[in-house]
Amino acid sequence: MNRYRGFFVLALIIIIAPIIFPDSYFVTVVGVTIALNALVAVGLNLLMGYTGQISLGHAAFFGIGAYSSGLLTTMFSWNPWFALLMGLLVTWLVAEIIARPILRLKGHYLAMATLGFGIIINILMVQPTHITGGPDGLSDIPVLNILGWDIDSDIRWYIVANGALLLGVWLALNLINSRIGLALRAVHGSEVGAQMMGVDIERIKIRIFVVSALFAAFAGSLFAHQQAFISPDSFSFHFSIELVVMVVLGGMASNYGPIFGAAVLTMLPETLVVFEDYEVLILGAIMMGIMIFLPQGLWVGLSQKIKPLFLNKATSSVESVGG
Amino acid sequence: MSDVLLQSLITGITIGSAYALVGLGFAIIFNVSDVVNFAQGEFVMVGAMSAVSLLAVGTPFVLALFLALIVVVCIGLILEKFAIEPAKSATVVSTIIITIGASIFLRGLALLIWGKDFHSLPAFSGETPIHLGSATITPQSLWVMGITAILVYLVHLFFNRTITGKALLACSANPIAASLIGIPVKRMMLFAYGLSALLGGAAGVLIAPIAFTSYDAGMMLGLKGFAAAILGGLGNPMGAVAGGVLLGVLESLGAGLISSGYKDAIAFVILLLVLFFKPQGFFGRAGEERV
Amino acid sequence: MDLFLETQNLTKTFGGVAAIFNLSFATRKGSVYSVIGPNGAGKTTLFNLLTGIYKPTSGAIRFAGSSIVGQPPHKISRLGISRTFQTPQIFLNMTVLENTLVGCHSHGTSGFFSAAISSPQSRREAARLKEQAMENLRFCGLDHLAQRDSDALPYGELKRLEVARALSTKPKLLLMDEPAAGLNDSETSKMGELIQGIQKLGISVMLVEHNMALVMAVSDELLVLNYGEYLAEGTPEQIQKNQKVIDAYLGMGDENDDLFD
Repeated sequence: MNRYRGFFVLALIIIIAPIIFPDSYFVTVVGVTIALNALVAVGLNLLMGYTGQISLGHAAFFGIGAYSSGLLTTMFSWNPWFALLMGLLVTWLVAEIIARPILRLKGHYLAMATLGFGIIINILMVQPTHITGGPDGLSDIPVLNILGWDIDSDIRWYIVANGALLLGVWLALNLINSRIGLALRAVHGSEVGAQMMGVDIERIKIRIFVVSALFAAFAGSLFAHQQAFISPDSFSFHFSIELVVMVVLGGMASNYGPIFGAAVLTMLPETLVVFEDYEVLILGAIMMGIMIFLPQGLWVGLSQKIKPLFLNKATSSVESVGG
Repeated sequence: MSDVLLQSLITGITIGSAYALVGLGFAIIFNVSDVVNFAQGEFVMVGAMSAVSLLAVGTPFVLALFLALIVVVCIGLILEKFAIEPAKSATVVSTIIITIGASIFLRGLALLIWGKDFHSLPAFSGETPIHLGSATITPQSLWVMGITAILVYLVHLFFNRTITGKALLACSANPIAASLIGIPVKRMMLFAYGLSALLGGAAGVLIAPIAFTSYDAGMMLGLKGFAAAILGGLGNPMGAVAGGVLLGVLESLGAGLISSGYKDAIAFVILLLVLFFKPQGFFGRAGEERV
Repeated sequence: MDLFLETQNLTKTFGGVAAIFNLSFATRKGSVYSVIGPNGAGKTTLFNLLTGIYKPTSGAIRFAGSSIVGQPPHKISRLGISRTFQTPQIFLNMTVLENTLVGCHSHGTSGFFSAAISSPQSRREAARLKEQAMENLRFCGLDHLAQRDSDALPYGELKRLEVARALSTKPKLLLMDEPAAGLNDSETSKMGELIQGIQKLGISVMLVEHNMALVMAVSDELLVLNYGEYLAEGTPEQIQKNQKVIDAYLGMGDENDDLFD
């Protein structure tokens, strides 16, 4: 079906990459980080790109997932899968509580509130040193085990992380193409219009906020097991910003844009190792440049420029936002 | 106990003065251009760092401070000219990302120039603390409070007594009408960014002798300044000043009562509570949204 | 008498200024009921009150026998009141069909979970809603544009798209805010036919409109507002002869509302 075409292309790329480059650091190691970041970005895009609600605090949910898994498996020796489920449950609860008052806010106020929330959660990871290990974080997080297989090698992590990504993309695709997805996009288009069509905008905003938080928490749990070590630095305001950049770099309101954005942004520091000190500078320049010159993002912006070359003029509409 | 209280109050007002200047800059830019400038904190950092460097190459103290402010104002103008103006029709999300991008860019630049070391300025006039009962106040604190008060008063006079100030307010109320009656709106925008940068830079050189500064020191200060502006009501510049001082005091009281590690968390919890329960701030005007 | 939508002593003030003052009126089921009055008479404010976007300062609103004061807009929509807007509130990020499908929102039940896993039940429902949406597009003469991006539509078609979308909520009462504003003569007469067609479907219509020719042609009853207050109510013939109405309109000078065209 048409809807899944991009999905199959993505799956194909994910499967072929390690076959062609079996020993490439960029595929089997960086590829795992890309997949996990992309999973968070796809979830954030549901909230930001489709529903039009910005969050500058999504690193917090990624962190809640990671810390739940880390704490429960190291301190209480929980089975990693139960810890992961618990992480999702805690995230659900936190997101549900915070969403109600936060999503009543709009624009700059919403940005500021989500940012403040993210920073508070980050401080809660640093301060209670006796529980969270403070700035040093948690180490010796056990490996994940799937049906007797220990996920302890690069290639196994590649499979798990990208499998999770594909699952996430598939869910997001279905959601966006459903009655719920239309309502979400309607909220972005016109809140008054959506309300008059019977959409309970307050409720649906809360729901999608929770869903996108769950995407982040799931990726966070996997991240904790993959790294075997976590510290608050990975879940700071800076990471929240990077997530937003992944979404807008690729292009909002497109399911593949955020994956593209995550890939670019994750590869960037790896390829710029020589210019390590320039990394921050370049990130800032990218953010400004994209927003000023290609506000729809690289993915959407470029695909719109390319599309007319393949379609004949009568059927193409250059203004359209790719799905 | 009351000594602790007094001491926290002094510390709070000192750091609150810096928040007030940053918040005031936020409010000015927001009112004139509807942009929340996330790079405001970087003005503070660049001000402090430039002064440190200028001193290091042997510039006389006062001249170094003065030149540092000029550097910051230039950065403010460049930011407006090359990042804000080209994205005139940008949405709220876009402008947020542009200014965050600008702040990260400036941070990256600072990292290249000054490295990761902490820097500090000497105090303006000696280090001998002055005793107030059993609490003490450093001469630098007095400088911070005094100069902040003077700057705030000048900004107040500027908006209320000068033609340029009133023209700036007109731009914020209705840019189209303002341009129709001959106000050069573009130049006014530049002016607003320059003024905000100046205030941020001033905050930077004022607190540099008290708080160590490094390439990433601007972020937290900027966010606190934003919190101050929201606390006071984004539409009201003088509210931002009150919000800044209030935030500084609450933060240092809270740090004294709970633990200094939670100091930043306290500021943001206050911010969230205000946003949830009184989003127009303590000194802003409420209004029903008209459709 | 079959009273449908009624208000009693409805008042809405903004910062001490009354936009609607002490307004009482009632519409009949199945009728086209028009609200006219000079600019600033409070017509759009009235619609915003009736649809729950504003909360009245005081007074009552009853729809089909029960009070709807204080209900949020989406609940009022589900009770059977839909509307179009003076400035079309089209979802410009969607196609024509998708816009109309949003109108079907409250006639579907599949939630987040069944949508995310694309359950057979949610797919069946989607197909059913699409059928409905297409039917409404056909009714408004837009079916051939279904896959078009809505931001590429001419203004007249945007206005009809709003009607198609509103009809998809299956309303009992449709509020139309200046459906002919900005339309040329042929588009306006098409809109007139559409309004009459909607009435034939058994849907009551409440109309705010400046084009008096259109109002007089389609309305069963009229309400005249002046500065937010009740001025007169009656059939088109009665209103045209009403001295208070004539005075109010003449007092407006050269308004574009030509009552006696």
